[in-house]
Amino acid sequence: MRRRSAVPLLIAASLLALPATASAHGLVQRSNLPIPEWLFGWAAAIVLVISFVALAALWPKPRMEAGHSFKPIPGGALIGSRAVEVVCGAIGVALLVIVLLAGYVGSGVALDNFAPTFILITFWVGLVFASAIFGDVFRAFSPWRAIGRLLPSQGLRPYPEKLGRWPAALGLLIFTWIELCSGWGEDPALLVTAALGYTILTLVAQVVFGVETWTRYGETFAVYFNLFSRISPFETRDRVVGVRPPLSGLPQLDPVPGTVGLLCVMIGTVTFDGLSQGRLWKDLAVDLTDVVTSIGIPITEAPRIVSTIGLLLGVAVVALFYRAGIAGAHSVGGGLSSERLRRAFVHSLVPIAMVYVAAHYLTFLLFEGQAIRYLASDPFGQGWDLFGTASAAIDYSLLSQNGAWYAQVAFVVLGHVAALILAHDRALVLYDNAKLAVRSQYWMLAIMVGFTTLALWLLAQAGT
Amino acid sequence: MAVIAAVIALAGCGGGSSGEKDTARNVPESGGLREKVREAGAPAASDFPAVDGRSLQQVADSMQGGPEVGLAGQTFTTGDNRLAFGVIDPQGKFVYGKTAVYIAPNPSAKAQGPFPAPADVLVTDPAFKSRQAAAEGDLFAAVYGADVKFSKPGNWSVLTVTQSNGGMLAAPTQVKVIKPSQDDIPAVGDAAPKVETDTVASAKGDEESIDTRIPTAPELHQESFADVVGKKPVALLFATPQLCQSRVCGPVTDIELQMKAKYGKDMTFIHQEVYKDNDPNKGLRPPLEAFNLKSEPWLFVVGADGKITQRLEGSFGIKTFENAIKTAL
Repeated sequence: MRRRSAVPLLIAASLLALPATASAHGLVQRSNLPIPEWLFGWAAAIVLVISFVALAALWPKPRMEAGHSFKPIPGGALIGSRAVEVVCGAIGVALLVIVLLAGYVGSGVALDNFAPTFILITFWVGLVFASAIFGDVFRAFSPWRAIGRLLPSQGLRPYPEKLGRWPAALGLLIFTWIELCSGWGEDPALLVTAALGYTILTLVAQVVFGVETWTRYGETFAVYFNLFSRISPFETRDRVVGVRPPLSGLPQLDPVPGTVGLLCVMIGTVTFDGLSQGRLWKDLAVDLTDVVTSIGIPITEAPRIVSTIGLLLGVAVVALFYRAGIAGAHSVGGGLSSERLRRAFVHSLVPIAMVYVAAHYLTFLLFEGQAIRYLASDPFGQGWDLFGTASAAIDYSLLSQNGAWYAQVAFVVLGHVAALILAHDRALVLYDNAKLAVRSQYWMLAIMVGFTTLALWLLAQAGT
Repeated sequence: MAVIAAVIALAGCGGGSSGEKDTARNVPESGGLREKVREAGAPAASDFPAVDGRSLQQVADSMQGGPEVGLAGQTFTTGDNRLAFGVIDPQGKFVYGKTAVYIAPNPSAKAQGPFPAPADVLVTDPAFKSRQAAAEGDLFAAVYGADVKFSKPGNWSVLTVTQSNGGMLAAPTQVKVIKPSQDDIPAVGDAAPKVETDTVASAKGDEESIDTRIPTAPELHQESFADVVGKKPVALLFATPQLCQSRVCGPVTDIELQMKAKYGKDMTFIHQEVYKDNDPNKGLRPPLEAFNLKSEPWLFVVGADGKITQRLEGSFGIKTFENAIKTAL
């Protein structure tokens, strides 16, 4: 028999539209950390100092400079074969075509379009992690290199030495400007038009300078991901994939012109991205916008200009910081020019750039990156469900706020310790006097501690 | 090349997201929720007992009690009204099933109804789901909405009835009905107040200051209402995703984003946050005061002539939002 209870009608109206209670939808924020965020900065600095002392005492001779071991992995010859490379290249070209088409024929709203998520998360952030873990995978999948190798010309002119990696640095600055300042990311068609323009430019440059030369120095993404791949324990040598000690690809980096600039762009742009998420920059940006509009620039354009200023400032600050550290190292003597020191230690900035990306974009990749699952099922916005994932929701419980913070701190500390090791090892080669080498590293230690605290401060800013 | 041609052809044929889809497709299947919401979406008056001259209390006495009603709005005038609500069980969980509404000026008065209250889905496509919506512990998957007519001003007793596990769960509530002349909120047919709304530019790039959605939706803050009203159709939504103070306000900003993806070429979509400095203690922002709003969320759909073609208070689902948009196209 059905239970029946009285339904009293004379109750107060249950108007739930505006009760005087707190938010009903408050998100879980980072909370209850066992120690304050600032203390993490001190702890990280102490770890670096201890690492520095340990290196000085226990690492008296260079270990990473004179080449490294290489051991082919099972199936390494197959993975590195030309056939696999052709297949990977074809996949890369197909993905490029899909992205371009998605940008033009898919939804006009970025959130609902495959192209922005693929370009700005899967490709831009995801490949950084993939490169640092698996090696130079982008070299195999690069659509531009794959197409370029089909072109008739393999170089009409020699590549000017003085250009070095400057084209890549410039390309990276423009890409990050598009990502962080332009607002084009909100317009899929505009974003892929930029990608199409880059494709044309790259193909022309490959015809003029040769595919491999341009890939090595000029093609922004090839150069960018290659730098991170040098951290990886995997390397392809003579078409065979094998293992090597982690980081051992970095001492072999040729510090051609533009390499320092490129690293400064890499770190500086992430620095600005982190800074721009905090209250400090937001308040400053409002003031700067007032200044910009006061000189007659329309309010609609002012935020873009202010962001551009911030982006350039971020790069400049990092460049000045590195320059100051090198000037300090130069002051200890040894007869090495500042320019030589700048280039000699630039490889040690790569792990720093890596952990800046890893720490700053970790949750972006883990959370927003999941969007690619449902977008890939319907890349052109036609109502398809190719992989049965069109309704897949983003799982924000994948990593807790505190878990993300711990992972970010760990990334930052590990990356800077790695940088210290690389710099210490290089100093032992540069200076014939071990004491001088250690003294020069006081300054590198200062740089590393500075970058570490900056990274943690930026992360804390973004969390406020 | 064939694939490229096919895709372009598809796009040319009006593909995109314009096709009619099952709005419940994104409701989780777990616990049979999706099926319950689908079923709740198509009630008929014949699914519920006729009043047969009984009073509202007598109708209520024939039902099982237990749940509560969470009204999504508080502005009701004599005449036609949309009564939106959620039904919440004693454990605080939302109840989904075929639902209808009975009304009467007081419990002992003759009941009117049943008025079917189809459940309108609130769960957007994944691309438009905010972190707030994704972080909801107890998903508010659909809001009930019934078209009811109040014949005179004053307090009215309302009884919602939801089919559940073979029985009828009744939940009472009360609403205050006023004369249209006492309602100072712009109504359908009125010219919309030409008010400046917050844009990314007016906020000098500080998106978080004008949008509590996470992540922010700058797409909905590109143009000020004052700049577009009277020139093209506009959907103006007053809502605060993070500071919404009700369990039944729903992810209406997410739904607006989804609507923009579908109708963005024909209509301007604007979101306006509610509280000054996003602080409920600091009062309402000027655009809400210009519309005389005292609650949120509110949606005003305005035609190209600047006149309001539809207004919705409280939570509204995908179908209701879309139907509102169509009144101005």
